[in-house]
Amino acid sequence: MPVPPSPSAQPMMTESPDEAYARLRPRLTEVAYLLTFDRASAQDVVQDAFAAALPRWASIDDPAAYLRRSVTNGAYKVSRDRRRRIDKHQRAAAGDSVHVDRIDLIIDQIQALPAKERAVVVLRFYLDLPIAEIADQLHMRQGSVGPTLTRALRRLEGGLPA
Amino acid sequence: MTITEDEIRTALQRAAARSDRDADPAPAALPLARPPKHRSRVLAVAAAVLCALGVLGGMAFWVRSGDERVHSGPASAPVDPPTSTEPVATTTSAPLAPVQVRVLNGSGTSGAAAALTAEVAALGYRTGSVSNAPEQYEISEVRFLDGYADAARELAERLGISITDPLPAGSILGEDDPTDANVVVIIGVDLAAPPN
Repeated sequence: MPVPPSPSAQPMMTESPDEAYARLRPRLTEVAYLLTFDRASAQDVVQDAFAAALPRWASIDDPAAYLRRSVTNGAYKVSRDRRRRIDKHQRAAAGDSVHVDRIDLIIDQIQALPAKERAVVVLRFYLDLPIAEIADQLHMRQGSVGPTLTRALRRLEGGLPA
Repeated sequence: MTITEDEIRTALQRAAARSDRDADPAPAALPLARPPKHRSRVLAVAAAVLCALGVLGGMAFWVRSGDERVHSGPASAPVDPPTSTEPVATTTSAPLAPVQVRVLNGSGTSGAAAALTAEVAALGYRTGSVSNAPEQYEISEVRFLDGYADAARELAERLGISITDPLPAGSILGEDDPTDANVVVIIGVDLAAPPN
């Protein structure tokens, strides 16, 4: 049964792994970074995902979706397994200390979320994935995606100055 | 203070833009092979140890139940009579370990975990070690490993906690002692500072 290629898959049918790497790596690294808030881990996760995909590249229908999934899995695992401390200095080190606005505070709060809640927020609001796919990807029941999202939003709001 | 979806999207985009700032230059070429990962080696060793333990445990169980079959007569003899203390009762069929509750303090209020552990113990539960949650939690949660959903919900109800969620092994329990508990209570700010 022929599977209609999704729009994102269109340019990939003839794309070589190198071209795919050049095209997809920045976005995948962003996703991995948002889940881990750690640049080195994010790069590792993306490298691992490509390395794991290479041997079976020809058999992957939609490399973009495949890699996104693989990267999300890897980064989520990293963020879950690690006892993370909120690194508020990272923001200053990143050079934004001159002017910290509300959005920066929200970023701090996102970074401080428990891994699952952060992952739901990123998959929903950064990747714009549908609820069913979020549930599938994070091994949650569909019914708990909404509550988790609500909980995350409550937590984000709770951390902002009134 | 309310927060809008747009603000979250903006925040995520701004944070994402930092993903390669100040980082080592990203490798321009494809990785050729999966680089050896220290972490995965550790995990592999841990998995092997766990498997070995599981096999040993299984053998011990088999040997023991074999003994019982030989020595204690008819196979209908109850091997594991259900306990009557209601909170500890989980299931009578599978070789699930008894419910063991670990309390993590995610509230930032010192002493909260010890106090709640005493409360949980007073309810008849076995309790494990007490420690701090890796992050602060606004809202208390009960997490559980596979097979302990009912026990977790019952405990949550008794403690007045509304959130129960499954717990991927090793995630909150920590690498140091993943077998310490099968139900985890995370004290949030809400439970540490009850309304008076």
